[in-house]
Amino acid sequence: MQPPVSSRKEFVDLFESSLLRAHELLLEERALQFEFNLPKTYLVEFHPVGGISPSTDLLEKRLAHLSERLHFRAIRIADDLFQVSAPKLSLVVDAANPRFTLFHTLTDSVTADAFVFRHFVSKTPAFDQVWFSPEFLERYAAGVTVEGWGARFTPFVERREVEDVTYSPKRVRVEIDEPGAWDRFVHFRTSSDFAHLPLDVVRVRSGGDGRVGRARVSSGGKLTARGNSFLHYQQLAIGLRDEYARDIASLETRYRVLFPPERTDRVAMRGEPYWIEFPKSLEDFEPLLGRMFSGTIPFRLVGFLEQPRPRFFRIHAVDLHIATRLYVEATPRWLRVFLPEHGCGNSLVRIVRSLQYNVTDKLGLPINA
Amino acid sequence: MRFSSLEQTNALIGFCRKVAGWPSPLAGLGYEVEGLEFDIVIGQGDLVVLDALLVSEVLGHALAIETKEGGNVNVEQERRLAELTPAQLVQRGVRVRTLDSLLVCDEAETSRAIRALEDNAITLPVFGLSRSMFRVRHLHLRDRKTEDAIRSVSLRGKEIPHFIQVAVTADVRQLLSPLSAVITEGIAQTAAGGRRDLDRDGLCQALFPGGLWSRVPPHQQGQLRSRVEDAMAALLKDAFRGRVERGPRGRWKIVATESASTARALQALPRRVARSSRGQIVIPEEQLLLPIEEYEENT
Repeated sequence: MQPPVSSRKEFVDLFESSLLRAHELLLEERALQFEFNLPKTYLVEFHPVGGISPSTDLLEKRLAHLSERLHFRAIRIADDLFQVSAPKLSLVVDAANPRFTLFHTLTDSVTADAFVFRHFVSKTPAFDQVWFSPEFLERYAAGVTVEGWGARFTPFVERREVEDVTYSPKRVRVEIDEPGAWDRFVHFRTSSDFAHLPLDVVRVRSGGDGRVGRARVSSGGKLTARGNSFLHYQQLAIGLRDEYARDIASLETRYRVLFPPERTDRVAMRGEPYWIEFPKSLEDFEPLLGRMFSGTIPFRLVGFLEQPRPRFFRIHAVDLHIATRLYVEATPRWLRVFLPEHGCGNSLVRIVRSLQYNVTDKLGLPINA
Repeated sequence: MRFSSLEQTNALIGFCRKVAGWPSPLAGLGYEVEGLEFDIVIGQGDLVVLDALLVSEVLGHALAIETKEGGNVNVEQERRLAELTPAQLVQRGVRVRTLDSLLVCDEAETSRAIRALEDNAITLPVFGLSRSMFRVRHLHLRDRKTEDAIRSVSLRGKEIPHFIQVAVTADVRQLLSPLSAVITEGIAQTAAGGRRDLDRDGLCQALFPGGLWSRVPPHQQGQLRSRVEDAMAALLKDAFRGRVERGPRGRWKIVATESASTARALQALPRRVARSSRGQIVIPEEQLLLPIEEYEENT
């Protein structure tokens, strides 16, 4: 069991020594034992409902409020550091950026994944996973040393399709870790070898002089450490967090549709809807819309649909992750997402990447325009 | 069906933005929405209310726009609009050198509007909006670049982006979907330990966000509050029964029971709303696309 820590230094020392032990063990035995779980980091977005800016004090209150309901204990151990403990689980929450927090743990993956993804994030509006889109991972990978990658495409299916005995799903799962892996990805991406190849995982490395931090970064915002330096690994995690935070800030600046009152006697309009274009008209568009606004994963949007004309829908929706409204217009060729004043850029990314992994990775997006 | 004044305003806002499925002829010229329901006092206290004021800093030019659902012309208002000057805008803090005032109507109503303007010797360009085209129907703009950009814009197969989603004149039926989303947001926020109450003004503010609500004339605010109450009564009868209770004088209380705020309960709301009112649609559950893992796990 991960021992408690009482300061940032203790936290870094503990994770540094754990990673080193795991590294040595790997070298000796080529396998890990139960006690030597690799450090893992979950990027979790803290987005208080009602448009209140996140802060560490607010995060402390929120954790205290949730601790009873979700059966964990949360202690503030430094200005921007919390220890979260539950039976068989311990996490150190780094809130140096209170909106994009880093949940570090030495607990095994099964227990930690279950707590963070299924227990904590999915049941508590105000918290959301961080969603690295394929574009984000590609852009990030271009600036670091990549040792491997994985791609996954799991299409949504119609019930009648899977009940047809001749049906074969067009599923893609590829993972390559070898020298020159990134060049191969670039080759695959530009060739027609795969109809869809959305990047889902990158393995990256940082360091020098015999000290190296490695991270397996997955699109759901989870990092797993390898190497012999937690500090180098931590730099990778912080770099990712900061780049993602910049992306979300930029999305929210541009794609929140605002009607700011100006000088009390007029109202202007700023911002624009985020738009998503499909490469061709979707045949199963209405069943897809039904899925998108059914309140279920991966979209987690509940929507009230109106159809003013054939093949055109207006949807007044609520993002269940952060309990905030958004408005969507949709045709089989495109979607327009109108974020309100306090709308969440992270939700935009969740919508986009859910379409990329499950419908088509060839979306036309403003960032590609 | 004719385009409402709100749809015409949204169409023009869309012209200033790059948006999928809608042309953006004014975006390239640097036009921004400087004001909505923008009023200017001129002369001896006469008021001109613009539905939209679009300004291009690049051109130093403004478009002062009135939109009309029908072809009836308010002679005095249109005369004041036609006689508006850049100096009057500058006095209101809008930095422009030149100005074009124009009237936008539903295409089917342009002839009537043009006749009325001519009969009253009012010199005001008129543009018509139809499902397939936005085009100039009467006179020309002073600014040639702007005129070239919007004299004839094809809209075939395109849908107006609804930047402003609810019309001030929306009837009870048209309020049901947006109000349902506001209530659902309230329930989800209550479950998260947030607010517990809804009130009439808060609901109106949610439907007309930012500074929009304050620009709605007082008599229309009153009418809308009343229709919001009627729509709430309709929604509380069935769809939100057991989740929201009526309180005193334009207030409602969210009943935050655990079962009313679970994801499954929230997921059921669109079906409940669609069942109890016309206008909303629901894609049948058996038609929804499935994540393939879910199908394999369930079978």
